[in-house]
Amino acid sequence: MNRYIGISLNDDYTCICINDKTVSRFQPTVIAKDKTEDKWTIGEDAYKATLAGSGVIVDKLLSLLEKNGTATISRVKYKAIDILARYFRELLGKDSNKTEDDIVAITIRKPNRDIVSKLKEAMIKAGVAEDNVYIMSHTESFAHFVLDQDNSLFNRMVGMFELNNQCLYYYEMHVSRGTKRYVMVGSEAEDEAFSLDILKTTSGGKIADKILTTVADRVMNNKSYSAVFLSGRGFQDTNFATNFMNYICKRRRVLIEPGMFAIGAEICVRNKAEGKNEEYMILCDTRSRADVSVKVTLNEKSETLPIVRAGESWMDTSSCYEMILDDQDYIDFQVTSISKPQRPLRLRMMLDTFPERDKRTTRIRMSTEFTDADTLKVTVRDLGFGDIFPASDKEIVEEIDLSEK
Amino acid sequence: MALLLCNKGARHPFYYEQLDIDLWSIQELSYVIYRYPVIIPSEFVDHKLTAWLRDELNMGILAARLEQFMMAGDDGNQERLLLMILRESNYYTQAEISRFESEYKKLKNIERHVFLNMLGDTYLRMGKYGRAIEAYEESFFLNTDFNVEMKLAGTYVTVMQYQKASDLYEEVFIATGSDEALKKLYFISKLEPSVDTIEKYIENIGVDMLANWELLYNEVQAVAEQSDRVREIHEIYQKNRSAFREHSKIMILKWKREYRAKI
Repeated sequence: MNRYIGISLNDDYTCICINDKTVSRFQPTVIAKDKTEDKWTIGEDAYKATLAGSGVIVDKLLSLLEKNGTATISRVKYKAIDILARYFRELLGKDSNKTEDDIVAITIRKPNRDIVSKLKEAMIKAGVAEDNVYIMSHTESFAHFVLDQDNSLFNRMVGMFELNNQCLYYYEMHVSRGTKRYVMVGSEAEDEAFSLDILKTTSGGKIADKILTTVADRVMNNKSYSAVFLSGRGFQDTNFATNFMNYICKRRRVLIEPGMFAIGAEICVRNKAEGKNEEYMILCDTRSRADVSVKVTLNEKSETLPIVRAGESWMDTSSCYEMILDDQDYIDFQVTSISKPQRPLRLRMMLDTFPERDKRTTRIRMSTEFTDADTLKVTVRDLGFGDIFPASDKEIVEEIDLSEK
Repeated sequence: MALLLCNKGARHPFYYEQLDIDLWSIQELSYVIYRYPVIIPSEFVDHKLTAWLRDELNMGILAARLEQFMMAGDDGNQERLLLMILRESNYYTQAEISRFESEYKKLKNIERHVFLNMLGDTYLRMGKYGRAIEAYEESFFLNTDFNVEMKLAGTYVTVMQYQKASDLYEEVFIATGSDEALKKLYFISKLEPSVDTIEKYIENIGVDMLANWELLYNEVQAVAEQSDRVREIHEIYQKNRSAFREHSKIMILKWKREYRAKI
């Protein structure tokens, strides 16, 4: 039987949701290895083993992975990827004898191509099939979570506060129900983040309440919301935040789900596995916000060749096409923003530094790849025309700015 | 003006013997068919070509259709097969393909010596001088045409076989009294002084004509001296003699290779 698993991962804690979108559990992102045998424990058990003196603990696993770090335990040097693979194996209860298919989505705050490939590698080493691993941002998993709720909760704008240790984020989701149904999701870090340790005292709780109320007043202003969500370990108990709760509950529905990101990720993989199409195109930090295409000719007919489709994950989007220049020394790109009702932007990439040849005897290879969410790198290489007109090996690289300035 | 979308090229090329060239894509195949129809052999579209289309270019449907027509074995099949390739290549327009069709039909109906003359011209344009010589010789053998003989002699000059060229120009001059043949003999003597056939006919050349030829030869030589290749060699010679010697070895090897390729 398939297991649908959502994992929200950061240096501090891991939240996991398996097969049930109403249940999630938190545990510290730490792993310990027994000093005498090859036995690994994670979370609270790792702390216990370390306190008992039987284990050596490794923490801040995500940062370790980002830095390509290593950890030496009992004179053995482990790479960050291998430690994280161990961590995932323990987290998922992976046993080499089990044959169940896990479909896993990991959500982290700021995915980039490098960390995504490392996380995938670690998860594959942990025993999950490559095609069953997805990586997304918190923003995207928030969108999946909200879109899985009742329609009335997102018929206007949706807000969300995330409170974790030294981490306070505000998220906003706008829904468009026009001809193109899409949601735009964004998030911002608030400067007033604080340590959750202050919630242990009454006076600290009051300070936290005041901070949250001030932030809510600033970011929500007089905007109209369908619902406001609260997430993160800081909102597991909201008794400390009386004023904040009073403020956000005014004429709005407020829902608390501390494990929202893990649940959103679980919903995403479940929908993928069940072949459900996204009813709304999600435009966020991991998705392209514009369509990019090139006009080409096929059998004497002009056709639009899509290079990038809005709503696609930019990290997984790359293309490679071969074309022949027929009496032209440029490529025209058409960029269509989904969220802005304006005419498509036309951008011309000049290829006039390639050698001049007879008509239709210059073949080019055009490769595209995102360098970040807003920048599409286009590389065009001169292939000549086989052995008839040898290639010059010249290459032209340009970047298309897709940000909506 | 357009960008023609194409499939990825083959991993292994198709060797086109007539051109002594490797073809890597359907567009290159179409290009050589369209541009050099004279050299297309009668059994050009065969199972070797269809296997290449299927295995290397993933054009299984085209390969199957070609094979189906090949099995039918009708007259004029070759023309139909070539047109099918051109249509599937997304390279030539329908108008261009129609033009090719009519020219290919004309080619089929011309006399053999005319065909061979055209074949020689095609090979000459492609720099395949050995094959051009063969074609011109056969054409001249079938039909005595001094224009063809002039082309044959010119091709011999290109491959630096001055004595053969000189004999042919002399034949043309004796038969037609052509000044052009005499001029060529004069230039051969300038290029290769040991081939001095022109001495026999020097009385036939007027002073003005000789002066003009001399001027023409000097002009061409001056242009050649200013060419990039000459300038490059000269610069290397000026800079460093030992580097020049090394460069000379490479250049001579390159020239030898170029010469062999011409033949």
